[in-house]
Amino acid sequence: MTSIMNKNNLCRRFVGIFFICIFISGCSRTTIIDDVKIIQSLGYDLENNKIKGTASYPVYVESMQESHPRKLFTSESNTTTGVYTSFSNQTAHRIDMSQLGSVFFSENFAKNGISDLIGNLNSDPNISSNSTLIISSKSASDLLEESMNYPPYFLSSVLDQSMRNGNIPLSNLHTVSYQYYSEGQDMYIPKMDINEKGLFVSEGVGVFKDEKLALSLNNKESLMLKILVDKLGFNSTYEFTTSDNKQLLIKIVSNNKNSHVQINNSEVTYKFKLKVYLKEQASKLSVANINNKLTKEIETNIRTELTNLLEKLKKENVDPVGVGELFRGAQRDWKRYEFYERVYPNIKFNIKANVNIVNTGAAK
Amino acid sequence: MQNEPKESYVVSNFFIFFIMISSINGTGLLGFQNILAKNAKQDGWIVVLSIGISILLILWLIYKILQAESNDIMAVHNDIFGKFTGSVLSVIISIYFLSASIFVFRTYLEIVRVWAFPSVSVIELGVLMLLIIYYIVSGGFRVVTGICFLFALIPSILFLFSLFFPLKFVHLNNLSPILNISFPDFIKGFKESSPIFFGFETLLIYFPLLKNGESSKKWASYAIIYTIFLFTIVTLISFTYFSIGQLINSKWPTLEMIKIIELPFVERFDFIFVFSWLAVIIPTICLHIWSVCRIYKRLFDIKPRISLVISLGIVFLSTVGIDNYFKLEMFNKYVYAAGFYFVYFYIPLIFVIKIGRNMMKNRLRNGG
Repeated sequence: MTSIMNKNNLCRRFVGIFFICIFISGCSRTTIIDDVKIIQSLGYDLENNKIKGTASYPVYVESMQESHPRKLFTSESNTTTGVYTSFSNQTAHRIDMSQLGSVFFSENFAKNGISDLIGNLNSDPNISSNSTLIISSKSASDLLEESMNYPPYFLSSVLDQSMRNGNIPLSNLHTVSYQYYSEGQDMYIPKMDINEKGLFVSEGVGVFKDEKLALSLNNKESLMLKILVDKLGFNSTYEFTTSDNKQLLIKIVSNNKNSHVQINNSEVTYKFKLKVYLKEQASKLSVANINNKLTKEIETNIRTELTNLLEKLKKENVDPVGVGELFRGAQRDWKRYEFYERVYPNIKFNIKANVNIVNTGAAK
Repeated sequence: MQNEPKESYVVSNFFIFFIMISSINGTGLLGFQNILAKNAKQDGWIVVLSIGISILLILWLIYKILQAESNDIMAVHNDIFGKFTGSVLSVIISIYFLSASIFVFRTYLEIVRVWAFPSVSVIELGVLMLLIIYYIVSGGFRVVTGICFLFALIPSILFLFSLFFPLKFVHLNNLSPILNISFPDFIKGFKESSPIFFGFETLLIYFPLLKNGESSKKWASYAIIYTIFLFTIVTLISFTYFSIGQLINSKWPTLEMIKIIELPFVERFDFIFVFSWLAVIIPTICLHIWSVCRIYKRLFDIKPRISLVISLGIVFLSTVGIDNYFKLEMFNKYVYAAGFYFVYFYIPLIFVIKIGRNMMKNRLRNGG
């Protein structure tokens, strides 16, 4: 009796395993890395009212010494996602977007509005929130063409590096869509260019009004924007001239920010505690000099730079710093339109910067 | 009616902690912020907290209803409404539980399709999952409890690890001004978001299978408090990580939030997250379907094996029938509305009727 039951059990188990095998194999979706075109950068240009898309992908070859032709996908379409269609007409392999590192678009494209692009990038769950959006000063296809001479993901690494150690405020797909959908802040997107020698340089940021590019900030201004918006520790360097005509370079290592809003007088107060390293000419300065005069001078210098930037943004009526968000948080009946029409142009900025020179390097 | 189940079928009291957590967890935790943001703006977390507290109250009501000799909802129905009407009401409840499980099942399949395999057919994945569910539920309540016990804490473990990364992008200013919500908005937000806690009402069915029902109250409340804590934390982080507009524009904000995680050895953690979530929804579905079978067993003495196959068949057919996102959204609305009226109107109503009846009985007894 028991043996029959055992047999039954075994039989059942076997049938179960058999079925599971069938189903599991049915579920497998094999993707071999050699058979997929993994897009690493996308470029968008505007030409004759049509969107021109460019895409670069790494080519895997057996040996690195071997020279091989590398080409970009290019296509034209009316929509930002439509360009993929003709990409896939140009390749023998499937196109995959899940490793997308950076999306470039020309200034012209940005001036025409990028809300569709942001919407489409967000609606594709394969695209990581960490991928970066970049405005290219030349056409995006030129930039990607040039990048083919460099290792894969070179462009996004350049930008990533200058966001971490340089003067560009932190920006990726998440922060850009955060700013785009937020009521009291405008987008800023880093810019990139090729210099005369054919090297890539990250160059300031572009500031948007709603979905359109409105204003470009240079490197120094973008550092000031970074001080205003970034929270985490940074490594940016800042060069300035002292009153007795000495050239100095300081490195900002930490920033403790505090902001306060007074609604009645429409006044915003920003307080900064900056810790800096003195890099250039440090050995020629006396201790007393550093403690009193120099610290004060750096403070005034940073304060005026920050005020200049805020005033400039105010004049252009763009708000990448998020002053509107501060007011929205403090005011119960805050309205976006009213704020930017009436309050924002008359806002008064108070800036208090407290600089602490932590170190001057190893030389005495 | 046999109200005293065999000793070998019951489970220990403290397991209700895990059962309750598992019954609440579903796909709700992946996307509830969307509706919440639409109605409550930056005060979403206050709405979540108050929903949680109201759920604690309802839990108390359920324990009051299940007191004395009739210790599950079928017996209560029979007591109050008589055999025929009572059975009809119990069948309606079973339909609600079945549609709740269809909803969770179909939503998860939708997420897998959108996130990982756009080309996979619902049938293929669905059959595989239904096989697992069949295997678990046919094992009886003890096996279902075991699965709940195993998988109840998975969301917390996942979140403990993954909510750490978005903190880098948090804007605390998003939460102010606090309490800026108008009363109608609060009510609307409360009504539309309360379903994230639903599923705990399966207690009405499995209560007799707890060893010492009365004293399980403590563990059940702990489970609810734990869930409130989990939901509030997730709400707080997602409302500070995203701007309100961004929340309104995304279907599954929790998953979007996980997308920011990038580790040297795992480029995209969100895929792992989506597939681990299978372990979270399986106990929820199993418990609901087990409840359906239990209702039919108690009412008409139908063998669970038969009712299980039939209900899984219905789940499968409806999953195939809901063939696009918009239908799913519609279905979602109906299930949510049904759940809302069931939890916030029907349960208190039963409570009032039962209390009234008891008082009447006492008066009659004393008078006579």
